[in-house]
Amino acid sequence: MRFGSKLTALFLAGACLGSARSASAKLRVVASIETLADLCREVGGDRIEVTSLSHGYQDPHFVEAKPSLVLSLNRADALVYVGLDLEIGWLPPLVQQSRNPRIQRGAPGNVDASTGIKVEDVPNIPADQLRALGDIHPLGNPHYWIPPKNARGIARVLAQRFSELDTAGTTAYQAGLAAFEHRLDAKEKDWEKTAAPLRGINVVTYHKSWSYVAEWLQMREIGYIEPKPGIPPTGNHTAQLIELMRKSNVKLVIVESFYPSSLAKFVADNGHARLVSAPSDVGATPAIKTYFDLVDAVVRALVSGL
Amino acid sequence: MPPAGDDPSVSREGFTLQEIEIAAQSAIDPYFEGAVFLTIPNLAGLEVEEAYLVTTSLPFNLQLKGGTFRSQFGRNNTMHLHMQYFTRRPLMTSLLFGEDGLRGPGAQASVLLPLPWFATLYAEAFSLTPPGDLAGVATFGGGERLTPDNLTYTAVLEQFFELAESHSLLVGLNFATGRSVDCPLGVPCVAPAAMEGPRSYLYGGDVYYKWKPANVAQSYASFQWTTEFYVRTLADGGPSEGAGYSEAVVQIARRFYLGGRFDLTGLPSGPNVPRRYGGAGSLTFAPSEFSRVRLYGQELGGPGVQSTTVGFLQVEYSMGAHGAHPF
Repeated sequence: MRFGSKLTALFLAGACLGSARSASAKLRVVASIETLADLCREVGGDRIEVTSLSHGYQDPHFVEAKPSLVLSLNRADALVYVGLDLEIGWLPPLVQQSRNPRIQRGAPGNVDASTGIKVEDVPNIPADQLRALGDIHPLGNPHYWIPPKNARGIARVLAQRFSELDTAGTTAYQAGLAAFEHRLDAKEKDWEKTAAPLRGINVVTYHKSWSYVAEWLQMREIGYIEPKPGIPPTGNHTAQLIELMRKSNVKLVIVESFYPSSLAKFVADNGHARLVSAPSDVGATPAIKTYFDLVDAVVRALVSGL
Repeated sequence: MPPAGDDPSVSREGFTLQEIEIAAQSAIDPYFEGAVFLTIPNLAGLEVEEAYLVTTSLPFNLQLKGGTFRSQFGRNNTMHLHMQYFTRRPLMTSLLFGEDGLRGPGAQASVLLPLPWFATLYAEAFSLTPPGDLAGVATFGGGERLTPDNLTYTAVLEQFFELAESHSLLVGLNFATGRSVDCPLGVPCVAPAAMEGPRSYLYGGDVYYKWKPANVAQSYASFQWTTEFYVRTLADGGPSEGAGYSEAVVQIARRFYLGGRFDLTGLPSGPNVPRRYGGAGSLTFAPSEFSRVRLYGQELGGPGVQSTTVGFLQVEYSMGAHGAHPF
């Protein structure tokens, strides 16, 4: 065998080894955040084994790229991530270090959940001006996983990819998806009914991470405590925001529970609004164990703030 | 004491542009990822700091890397300048590794060991050229470049232990051997062929500890501590000489970092690695993920030499895509 053929054989062996999985073994899935991990469980049921790289009480932009996470990725059959550059600061080096061809870019096991949703807030400005707007996400707003229509889109992507990776489980994945959507349809009506008082109210949020929720529940975002994404608030901006809030009858200041709430409370108090520290991921508190728990908690927190 | 190649002190006083780095990273195909890092240190000449391919699809948890790149040896040596919280590199860098650290054209094979904790074993071979500053002494780079006898070889074992959710420990054991440059301190050297010195051995360890709560709602505070120490010996029975440093960085607010570093060279001391001390402090303000402003001061001294104080006001910025933050 010539050297070139041997090298090719080595790569193919790697690819084959990478995809080797006994028919009875569970599909090993690693998700970048806990909400995606739970949606994987909803679709995959007993056929998959899921772990999350981050916890729901962490800021998903700034997860520590600990080498221990490489071990989970090394054994994974699929990596499910939010995409739109949310994890750009920590996930790419871990994936490269994983030495796992199954989850590299372009591989079937590399699952970008954002492909299942309609992406909002894609900046329409020249690339060389992007950073003047702060640490924005050039591919669009990645904080999309809470509204039911997006969860539905993510679940469909998961069912399709899991079926490709584990063809024997196609029926089970489709059944998991159908059961999830059936339950989601019912819950969606409940949530929208409960959240009816939120329609049309003006809100301020800490980071631009509630836009999809605001659109779903028909709230109007009129400002952000961060002057620009990723840029901590300044005194001048805070004063202007409070002035705007007073003029605009802002009802709620919404902040993710992983951000310090002292400044948000100051803004809310002085802007004559109520502060809502809301969870944004499964696992944000011990009681939030599933996607349904998460949306229940978000809707409850927002309505109770009125 | 020779400065590192990316040290700003060559300008003595006034303004300088310590380093410009142009970086490109991309998937090459389903089997490789590639990276190129071009630098211009102190506005003097274009250098290829790194340009390499790394495999993504080999079996048995193997990974190969080829090109010109920074050795996995130690912790600071793997870092590009902008990843440090200090303006200058540790004093040991130029004394033991060479003016640009341990980097050059070579190949690396590594394997993620099948253990319950993260442990990776690296083996590398480099073709290292003699140092540009011949007044200095380098551990590696002597003699012919391409014969196996003159290559520089390294072996590194890197292990990570998650002590608790907020407490992490990274430990590295490092060994390297190559041809030293037969050019004692202060003696002019000329032809590279004449500089093939005895085989040198460099060994030591690095420890990195980090405390950072996962939930920043509690606090933005974090703490990281790094210590490295290495000893060089020569095959012909020459003196063993050692150097190292210990540094700590405390995040005192969301955008402020306070750092301190203590350097010690010459433990044990010898003609090429004299006893010297360095104490450095830095205060870094990061307005955003893409810029940093740093105040840096350092006091250098040692037996029989006059103390020197240096200070820098440094501004760092990056353009383009958001970079990753390796652990």
